[in-house]
Amino acid sequence: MMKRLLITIPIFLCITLKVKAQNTGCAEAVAQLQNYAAQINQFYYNEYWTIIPNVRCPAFDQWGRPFHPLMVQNCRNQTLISLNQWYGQQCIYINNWYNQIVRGCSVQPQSPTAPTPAPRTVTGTDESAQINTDQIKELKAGIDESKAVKITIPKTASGYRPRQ
Amino acid sequence: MKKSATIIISVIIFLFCPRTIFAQFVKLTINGGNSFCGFSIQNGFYTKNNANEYIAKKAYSGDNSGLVEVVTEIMAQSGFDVPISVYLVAGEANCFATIVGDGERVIIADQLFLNDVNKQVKTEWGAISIIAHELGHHIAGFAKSASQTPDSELDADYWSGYLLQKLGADKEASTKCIMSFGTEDDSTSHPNKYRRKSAIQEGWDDASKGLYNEDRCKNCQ
Repeated sequence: MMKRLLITIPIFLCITLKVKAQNTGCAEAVAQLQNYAAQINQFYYNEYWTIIPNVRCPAFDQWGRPFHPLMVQNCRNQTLISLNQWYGQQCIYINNWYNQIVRGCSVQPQSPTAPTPAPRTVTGTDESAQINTDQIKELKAGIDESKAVKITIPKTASGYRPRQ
Repeated sequence: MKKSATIIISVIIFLFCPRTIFAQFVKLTINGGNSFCGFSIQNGFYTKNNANEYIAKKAYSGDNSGLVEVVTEIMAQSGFDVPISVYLVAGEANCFATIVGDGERVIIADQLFLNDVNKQVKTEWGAISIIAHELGHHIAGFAKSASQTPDSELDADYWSGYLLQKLGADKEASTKCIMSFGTEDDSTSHPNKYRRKSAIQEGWDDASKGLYNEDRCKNCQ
């Protein structure tokens, strides 16, 4: 079990799913970032719910005999600490990456042929002071409206059958 | 089995839901332990004593989400007269209530997740019950420590039941969501689905009698 644990740490550190934001415009850069974050989340989720309890620190050996509960608990705690440390590093990396995108987009020169209407100004946050939203209007896809259904309060006590 | 299905659904949502690219970036700065540092609320990686950030899009009245109208109507039923902002995120498979750095009360919601909930529980009260639960956190008050978290969830569930009764939901529809998505056993943060169903029913019953339980509302005193 300890061997598995020792293997775990380098695995976390060696995961390199990096998808760099290249010279691809703000929209694509954010999409890449979100894709990367989704991969990280998926990896974490798999580790947390499946790999650690069933593979790295199982409660039973291959013959179905239980390991000592304290040993299992210790293994899981140690592995989870490693996983969380790795995840924390990824969070910092993702946040830095996001800040780079924001900085890059906020200074991006506006094309003379670009449409001019300014996006709705967001108030009530400290964001408006830091990011010129006029400069990032490329980032306009938003929720995929073809798939998203408007949330409404049902008119009947049991509720409608949801629209597909 | 149900847990596996939930995991699979979450992963599918993570992988295949459209990646939202936001029209207006809003940087939500959340101080302390109530926030997630990256892009997901789902996995709950919290950092303490640091300011963290979300990318989100502020919902507004008349937009495609409909959430501002829903929140406005629910709040009108609650009598809790405090402005609450709604922010939209994607790929989170969750909803989340918190108070951001400048004291703004917010709900952060994944619209596609709410759509998915409605489909799974086969009633549009499913999404409303989640939003009502999150508003319930604002009404009841947030947990001050980890040990208070399960109780604060039950308080929010109570208000979910209370508000859904006021909005016209029957008792069964009010609890369908929690019975579909709740867990069999208590976790460190959330009570099991049976206790949560009871709290929702308690709120629903109190609302039907024109009462509310003051113990469920730290902000009402």
